Amino acid sequence: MSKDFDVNKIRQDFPILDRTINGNKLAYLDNASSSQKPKAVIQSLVDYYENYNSNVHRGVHTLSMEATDLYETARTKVANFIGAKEPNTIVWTRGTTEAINLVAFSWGFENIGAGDAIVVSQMEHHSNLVTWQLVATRQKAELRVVPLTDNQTLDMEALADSIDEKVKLVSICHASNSVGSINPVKEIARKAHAVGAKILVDGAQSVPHMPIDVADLDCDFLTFSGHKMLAPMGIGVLYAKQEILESMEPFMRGGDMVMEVWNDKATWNSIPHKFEAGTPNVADAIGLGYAIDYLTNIGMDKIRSHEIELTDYALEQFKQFEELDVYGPKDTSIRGGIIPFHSEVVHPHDIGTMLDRAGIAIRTGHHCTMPLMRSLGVSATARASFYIYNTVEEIDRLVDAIAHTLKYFSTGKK
Amino acid sequence: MEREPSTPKLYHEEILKHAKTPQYTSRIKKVDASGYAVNQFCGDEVKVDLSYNNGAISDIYINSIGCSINIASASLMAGELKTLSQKEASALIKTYKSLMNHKTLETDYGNQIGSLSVMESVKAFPIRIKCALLCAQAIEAAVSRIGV
Repeated sequence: MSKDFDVNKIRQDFPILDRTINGNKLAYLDNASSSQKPKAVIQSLVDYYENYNSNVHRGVHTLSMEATDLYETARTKVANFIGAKEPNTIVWTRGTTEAINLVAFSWGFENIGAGDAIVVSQMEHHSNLVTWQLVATRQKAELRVVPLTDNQTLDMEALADSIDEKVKLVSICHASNSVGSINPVKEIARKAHAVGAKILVDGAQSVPHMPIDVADLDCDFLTFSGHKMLAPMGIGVLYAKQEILESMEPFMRGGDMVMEVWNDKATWNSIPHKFEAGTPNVADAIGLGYAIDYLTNIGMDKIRSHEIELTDYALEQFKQFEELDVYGPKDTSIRGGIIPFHSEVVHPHDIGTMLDRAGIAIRTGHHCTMPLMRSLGVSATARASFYIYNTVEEIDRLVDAIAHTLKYFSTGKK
Repeated sequence: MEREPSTPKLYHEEILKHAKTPQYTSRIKKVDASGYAVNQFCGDEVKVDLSYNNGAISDIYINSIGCSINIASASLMAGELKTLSQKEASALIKTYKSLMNHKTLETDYGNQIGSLSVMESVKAFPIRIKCALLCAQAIEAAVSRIGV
């Protein structure tokens, strides 16, 4: 591990990692699902509710002004974190799912029509597939699903073939939650723009784990969730280019998103507020700001390197399991810290239960990617996923527990 | 040194046996009623065909895809259902579901559900109870279609 990346010091910031599960120290390897929270983030919530709690944007009293200041500072932190020049290009949402739905309802229904096409990939999370199914069906547009190669990377030839003049939107994950593949979104953005299409990058699995620069990627939309990057649940982000946000109609109507209201009509607030109807999730937005401070202090480059080291190590260790299918590219320069595996002998749920007995938390199931599971010919996989606080020792424990599980289910002996 | 994962009580010997070699997996010639259930959460599924002759279930085909709990419970339940009337089968399924859902039973359920009583070990693992109930859902659907 890098000398200046002290994982043991980092672990001390996460109280939950001291928990014992079924007599064993917790090894939390379900980070693609949701991450744990450092003390600084947890404390920020307490601090907000103890000292600043009040509604934002609408009070002249001190608490409201302080809360507004903290809330808008968090927005600026998000903008800086992803290389967005203007904080008003950052729209708060509940998470990635709501952010994608916002784009579908506000931009999609206005800009995608009969005969147009939307391009997604076979590795999309349901949130980035089902949403576009709706738009395609209602608008009589075509939904094109780009297949994957044999090692579950995006088939770039098929992608190139699918992007033509009919395409209005390419909506694609930056990194797969299910097989770990990292997509060359900068290159895909160029292809999309060449035919006049927009690109939405689902960054739920990339923004928490690697440096992101929306200006460099030249993506039109970027969506991500706070809870996967050390922040509280219930806060997420839609970034969009300023001119696109300006052109979009609101997603939801209500308070705070309006400028002037008459009995029969209303005008809209400026961006990003016109997309933020109702009282927002102030405390969790501030918490996301603290999570970003935490990540930035460590350095996204170092976090990415740490996860590459863990993933390389895990892939090497998994070679001993001839009976396991391990999905995703072997080249960790194009892979996130995700190890999905499948056994013909033991069902993923049984693996999950056995690992839980050893204190190891992994995810089992279809990971909200049922079409991808179908293309792999399985109904579910087991998935270990890494983050900032995971260690080589935890991977050793994972490997030992899998070995034990495979033996147990093969022989029925302890 | 890490402790080896303890073997959860979940995996009763009988459950493991049926998970590895499930019974009633051969297609049956005469299908009088069918049922199907899928667990949307995990993708596991159970398909069932029944033959019904002279007021009793005479043959069963069960195809369960998924975890050991799902496969074992389906196999065990199929065994218990054979020779039962439609009414008896419905009662058995109801008792089994009540048992797994922690409902208080008035009578000695052991006599009613026979070999299925080993599934009770699953109750200590609440997240896996749905695995043990998927077969009941599919079989209940099939039983309700007998004579329809």
